[in-house]
Amino acid sequence: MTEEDRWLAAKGGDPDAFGFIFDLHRHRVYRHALHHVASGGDAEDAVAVAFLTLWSKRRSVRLVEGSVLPWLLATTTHAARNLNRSRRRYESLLNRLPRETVSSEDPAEIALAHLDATGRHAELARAIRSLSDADAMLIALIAIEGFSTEQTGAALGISSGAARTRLHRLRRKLAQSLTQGTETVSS
Amino acid sequence: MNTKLPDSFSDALRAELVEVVRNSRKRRWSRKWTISAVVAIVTVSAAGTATAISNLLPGAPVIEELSATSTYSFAGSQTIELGTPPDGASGLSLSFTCHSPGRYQVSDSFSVECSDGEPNSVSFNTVDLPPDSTLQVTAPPTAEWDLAVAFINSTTTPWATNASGQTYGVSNEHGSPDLIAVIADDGNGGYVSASDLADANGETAAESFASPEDALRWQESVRGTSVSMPVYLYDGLTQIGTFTIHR
Repeated sequence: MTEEDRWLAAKGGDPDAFGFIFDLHRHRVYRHALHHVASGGDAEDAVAVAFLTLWSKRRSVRLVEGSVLPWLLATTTHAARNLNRSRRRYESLLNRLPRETVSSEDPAEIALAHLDATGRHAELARAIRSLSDADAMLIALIAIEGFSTEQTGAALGISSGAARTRLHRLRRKLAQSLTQGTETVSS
Repeated sequence: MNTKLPDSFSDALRAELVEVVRNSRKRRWSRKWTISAVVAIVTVSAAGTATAISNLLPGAPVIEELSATSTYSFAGSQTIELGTPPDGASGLSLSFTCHSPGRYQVSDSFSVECSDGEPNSVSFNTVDLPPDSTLQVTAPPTAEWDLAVAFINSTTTPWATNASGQTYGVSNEHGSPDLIAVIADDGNGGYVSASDLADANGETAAESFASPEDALRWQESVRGTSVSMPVYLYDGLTQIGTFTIHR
């Protein structure tokens, strides 16, 4: 069964199929959230909100080459940047989730990963914070996750021409605030 | 570096998500502005042109007439015997016109109001076969009306899929596609996202209702407000207008 088959089943209300989609993408979503937030705990919240949004907006999720991942990562960017609002909406569910500081992952490892995630793109991450949600999602998918403009356009629901135009405009804007980081934006 | 979501958090979140999905099948509150109501607006019209448009959309029924149309004209209440349905009949096509002021009721299916002597017409592509093959029209004593009926067989066409993998068409007995056909505010045909519509008409809110009181509270909180959503071409990307719901 392909991811697309599982997603169609999940959309139709199959709980195990939705669990499969969660298993498939959770770690990548978490790593993506680490780029946009200040702590591992915030990244965990963003993961929860991203998958809850995947369910509540399931009818308008756009598949890219048979996968929900690009749409899900764009949603993760949005969730991470709007945590205060999302936390109010999903308050009772988020409060039920365990936040152990002692886990199989060494907290120092998580902190290092956060540093690494933002370190590799430190200047870019800083510049992204000042962008609108729509621009931040576009840049995050292309410069951080490495999707093409075609794939990014498909995920965001814009034409690839519009994606290229916005990318070009954003490169100029970001080049003003980046010093050596431009190699992560170009290509 | 290959950082992973911590196990304990991941396991707990997964269990919560699976429970949310499992519970979605149990919720039945607040269906005030169901999608079928939206589609009915498309099909009810003067001269039947909107009916014809609906028949060309994916998910719409293909109607095969199995009998000639019989027209009944009466004044006041009347019981109409339709006779034995032909083999393969799954329902009736029905068109009701009132000519005199008043309120008319047709079996348990629908009612129509006529005012000031202006004729008013309601058409249905397909209604279920009445249990005893009889229709009961209740009308004011001298109120004049016509009923045109034919036996039909209805087959539902499948929804189509666009390049982004979204289904599109009209809502039907199988539910709703991802992009639902509507008439936009400017009168052009197009599609709204099912989730936009669900947010506006209370279906999304209904997923967090724990009781009918929650549903009533939500309805009261939105009464009098309007929500506009984008209308797209079947590609789900090109916006061509807006669709406004008044609550």
